[in-house]
Formats: sequence, structure tokens, C-alpha cells
Amino acid sequence: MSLYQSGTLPFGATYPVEITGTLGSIQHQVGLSLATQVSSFQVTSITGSAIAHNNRQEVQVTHTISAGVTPTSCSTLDPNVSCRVVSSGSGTVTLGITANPDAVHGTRVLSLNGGAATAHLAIADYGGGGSAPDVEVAAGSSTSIDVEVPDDPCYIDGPCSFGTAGGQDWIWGDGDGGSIEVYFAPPAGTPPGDYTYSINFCSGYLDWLEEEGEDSCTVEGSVTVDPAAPPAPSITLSGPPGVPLNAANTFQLSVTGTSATQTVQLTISLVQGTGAAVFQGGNSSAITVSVPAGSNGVSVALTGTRVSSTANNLTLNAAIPGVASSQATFTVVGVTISLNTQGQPAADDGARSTFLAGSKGLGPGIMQLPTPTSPQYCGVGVELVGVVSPSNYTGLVTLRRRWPSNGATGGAFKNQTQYATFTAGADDTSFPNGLDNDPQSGGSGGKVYDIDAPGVGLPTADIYRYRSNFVEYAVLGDRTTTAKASADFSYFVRASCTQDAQGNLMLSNDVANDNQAGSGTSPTTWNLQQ
Amino acid sequence: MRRKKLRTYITVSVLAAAMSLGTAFASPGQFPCAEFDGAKAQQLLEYLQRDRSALRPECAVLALQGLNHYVPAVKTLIKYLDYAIPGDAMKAPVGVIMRLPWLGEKFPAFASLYEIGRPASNDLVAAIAQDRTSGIARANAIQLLFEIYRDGPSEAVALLRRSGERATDRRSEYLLIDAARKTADMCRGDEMNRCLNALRP
Repeated sequence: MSLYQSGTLPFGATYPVEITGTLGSIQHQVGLSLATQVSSFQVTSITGSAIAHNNRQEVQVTHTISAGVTPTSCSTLDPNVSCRVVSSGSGTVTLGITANPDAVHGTRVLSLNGGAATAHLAIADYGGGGSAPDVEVAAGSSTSIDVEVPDDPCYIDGPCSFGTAGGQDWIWGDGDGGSIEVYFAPPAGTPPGDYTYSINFCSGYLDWLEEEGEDSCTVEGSVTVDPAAPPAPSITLSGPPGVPLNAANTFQLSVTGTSATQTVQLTISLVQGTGAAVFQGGNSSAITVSVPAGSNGVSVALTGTRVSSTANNLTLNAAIPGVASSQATFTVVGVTISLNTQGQPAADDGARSTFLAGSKGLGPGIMQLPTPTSPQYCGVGVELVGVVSPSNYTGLVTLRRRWPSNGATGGAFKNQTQYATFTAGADDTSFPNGLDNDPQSGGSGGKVYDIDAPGVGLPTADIYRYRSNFVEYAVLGDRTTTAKASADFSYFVRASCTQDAQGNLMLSNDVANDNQAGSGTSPTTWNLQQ
Repeated sequence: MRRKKLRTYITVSVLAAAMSLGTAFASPGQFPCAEFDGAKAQQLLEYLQRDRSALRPECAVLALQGLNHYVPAVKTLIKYLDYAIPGDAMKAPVGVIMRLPWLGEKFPAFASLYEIGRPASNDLVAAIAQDRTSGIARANAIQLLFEIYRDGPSEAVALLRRSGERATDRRSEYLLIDAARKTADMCRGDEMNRCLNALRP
């Protein structure tokens, strides 16, 4: 069936057509609409290419069309972009275009009347009036995000995009060239919770901002501030410069910045040369210890097992693997003690001048110490020498003294009667003026000294006697410490005092082998008999 | 080097002399001063700067001992150089010299100034030069200078001699030169010549 019509029918118009069918006496009619058919038409924009932002807000754009054509439909292949014909009239059509936020920026083809004509559409990313990403950050820490900045349309000759961020004083950021980096750094004291932040795109040259209004300049997002993460644990390890050979010295280990008990790995390492130490109570050079939270730390005792060949050649390492560590350097120190009982004190003995100010030298004699006006007495000068290994050790090493814990200690006699007894085991360490506890002072090169001059005066015109056994030992540290670094060294001092016819003090030699000092022990009776 | 830690208590030798065998010579005596528990050096110093006659002896001694590394206390410590640990506490068994005697045993300020060492030198010299300084304090100051410079006593001699030469009054000059001589007299051995040389202008 063909239908011919002369002349021009308006584009898009419909015309009723009635078709009648006859079969014998039967006749049937059906009505049809006949529409004009246009194969194609031209669309030309008069306001520029359509630019829609992916913000669900419709953008309307007007196009010119070929005369006599009336677009009635508009569509795109992108399901996130919709298009409608708002109006069409003589030679123009106005389209309404909407892009949702999932529409990717870029160009789309608009299809009018099922493809009879096409127009182009630009989809632009848009934040204005929309939302920015949600962010989560712990108080006291920081994070950042990159946010794309609209770069189009631009009313200058690019680059165009520029944005700034804010909302809290711990939120900042700016940038251009297509993106902005926004930083979030809530201080540790920031109360946990949700905070709003915003990004302003209006500080650049985007001309759509004027079109969209001031409200569309900003996007807002939420930042969730979590409670501040506990600070990373920190280890503090402190201790003496030396660990005695065959005895212990103590290091202090503490862990801060944690609310939980920490397990700390402790390791002893040899850095150079020879030398060794183990943890007290075992033969191990590696242990783990628990440090309770909130405690002042724990003490860790190390025992030297082999003298260091040079100073500071061992380390004690404390570590919470992957979290924190600390290190202390130390030396295993040994001291050998000997006794000088005659001649002059060593030239490098720091107590030499003090001692010689009131005596003629080591050994028995009449002493006047500590000052030239002090009363005279009969004494025996002794110099204990501690040879320190390694010889370049610089920590303090002090020679201490006590009375023996077992056996005779000694005492004082008036003629043959004892009137004082020294207490077993009691300390008798020299005063500072008798000590040189710096192994490097005076060019010693690893020697320390203890000068003593015990004895007895003469309160009455009798014979006064002094008998004493001593135990000398070295400690690492000053005269108050107990980290013993030597074997016990036993020695004795004995002296008797009387006066001559003129009343001058003199040593009494009425008992054989009196008025001397020596290593070992001595009888402590008045006559030196067992 | 000399180091000493702050002690909470004064430990002194207590006479336990007896005429019978087996009597112990000494046992530690403790003189607590509760008001100084946890006290800082500045508090100890302020205590000593009060009227000396009103101080509790046990607290005064503890304060003097506790300032053994506190350089700002030097001038005050020097004023206490003649302040002896009180009472019988210092007595050993009659006639017995337990160990190399030391003035710091009897005078706690002496011990603390010894620990402070050379930073106290100039103030010690100044105290020696002052006429109002007591005889005991001056003698102790001279001895202290000698011990502070024990590695080279001639330095102490030279310091005193130079200070005497610069003194603005005759009395101070005399006191300082006299102190230099007394110090030089304590030098022995190879140090003696150096000390004598240090006496010369």
C-alpha cells in the first residue's frame, strides 16, 4: 500500500488515515496515524556546547535546528546522563541535560529523535554543593587525601583549577593543577567525634561558580576523629660503665609510653676484641623480661665472665622488636690488688701529697695527719694498688676496705690489755683524701690507689698497741658502691707506740715483728702470739 | 674524680669504748632530720642561711653533707668550715687512728667543698683573706685548698701568693701570703721545690 501526498508536511506532524477492508459483504475499518518522516536534520548550538556537571542538576542548552524539523526526544547511551527536550519551536530546541555523580567526566553524544540528529555534551566533575570524601584519623596523628579540582570551564587561559580546604584549624590544604591535597592532623587532645571539613573551589578561575552561586563553591565532608592512639613505647636503658668480673652490676630498664606490660628482649653483644658477660642467674647472653606498665622499670643484673680486652667493647641491647630499642655500652672490668709497705707512694697516686704532708713515707713511723697541727701518732703507712683491666677503662674504681668477717679482726691495747675490738665485717673504707679512684689520673694507665695510715696515739704514758687484719677489695664506682671487681686481698697492720725520755712519740719494739704491715693475716694479741 | 651521693642520714662513728675485751669499737649512728626528707639542694642551702645558732645540729650536718655537689652553695659552705659534727659522735677508741685522718670526717662543710673541688677555690682564697674568718675556718680552708690541689699543690701555693700580692689591704695580704707559706710547708718530695718556687713573686 502506498500513500502519496504532494506538498510539504510539517516535521513531526501526524495525520489520520483510515483503511477500509471489504470481503464480500464484510467490511472492516481501521484507523492509523501517519507521521512525517525526516531522515536527518542539523543541530547547531547557539549557547555553546552543553556542559553538565555530575551533580544531578539539570543544565539547559538551546540549539538551532534545520527549519521545519521539530525534535521531540533526546537520549544518550550513558545511563548516568539523561536528556529531555524542554521545548522546541521554529528553528530551535532547548534540551535539559542531567548527569548524576557517577557520570564520568568527558564528552557524550546526544541523540535527538532516535538519532536523526546529534549534539555533543561535556560532562564535568563537580563538587559544588556535593560532598567530599569521608575521612578517619586518630587524634595525634595525621592523614591526607587528594581531591580532584574542577578545571573547566575556565575564564582565563589556564591553568585554572585551584582550591583550598579548611573547617578546623587542624585541617588545611590547597592546590591546583587538577587536584588538592587536604591534610588532617587533629592534635592529640582533640575530642573524638565527627567534624566537618570543606573544600572551596572558588578561589580559582572557574566561571561556572558564578553561574552556580556561592553555595556551590564548596563541598563538605566528614572527618571522624578517633581517640588518640597510645604513644609508641620507648625504652630507656641506663647503667654503669663497667660490669665486674665474676660479680654483678645492675642496669635499669624502663619502658614509657605504653599502658600495657611490655616484653623486652635483652641481648649482650661483643663489639670488638674479647670479653663476655651473662645475665645474672644464668649463663645466657639473651633473655626476655616483662616490664609492667606504669612501673619505674626493672633492674637487670649482668655478671662479667671474661675481662674486656679494651674499654667499652660490649653492649647491652634492649628491644621491643619493631617498636623500640635502646643500647648501653659497658666494659667487663677486673682488678688485681697488691700492697706497698715501704718507700714512697707511687708518683701517680693522687693521695700521695696528702699522705706525705704528715709522714715520711710508707711503712712504720710517726705520723702527723691530716694537718701539721694534728696530734702525732704511731702508724704504718700502706699503699694498696689496684691494677685495672682493661687498662684504658675510664670509670671509677675504688679500693674499699673492711675488717674480716671471719677470724680475728684486731683492736687496741693499753700495754697488755685490750680496750677496743674492731667489728667483724664492718666497713673501714678510707676517706676521700686517701683514695685515688680514677684509673687514668696522673697518667696511671689503669691503676687506682688507697693509702692508709692506721695506728695509735699515746693518750697516757704507756704502751699503746694497734693490731688489725683487713680485707681490701675493689668496687666499680665510688666509695659507696658495692659492685665488687676483685678478689679479696687480706693484709694486716700492727704497731705499738710509746715515748722517749723527752716525751717524744716513738715506736715500741718490745714485741718482736711489731710495727709492720704485710699481706695475709696477723695474730691480733698484744704480743702477736696465737 | 671524687663523687659522693647525698645521704639521708648522717653516719658517724660512735664511741663504744670500754675497758673489757670484745667490746665493739663502733657502730653506725643515725641522726635523722625528717624535715629534709626529699629536700632539694636549694632548700638545704636556705636552711643553712638562717641564723646559725638556731639550727638543729642534726639537720645542719645533713644539709652541709647534702650540698656536696652544689656549687651555688660554696660561699655558705665556707662559712661553715668551722662547724664540727657535734658531740661525742666523732670519737674513736682512745688513741686509735682508724684510718688516714681527714678533716672532712669532723667538718661536714669541708667534705662537701672537697667534692665540689676547684670551683670553690676563689671563694676559699677570699675567706682566707678576710680578717673576720675564724681561725679554725681559715686553717681548714688552707688545708682544703691543699687537698683540692693534691695533684699539684704548688698550684694552690701560687694561687694564694698571687692573691696576696693583689690584696688591697695589708691584713689580707699578710693572711694570704701566710697561707701560701703554710701550704708550701705541706709539700713533700719532688713537689717541695715546685711549691717553694711558687712562693716566689
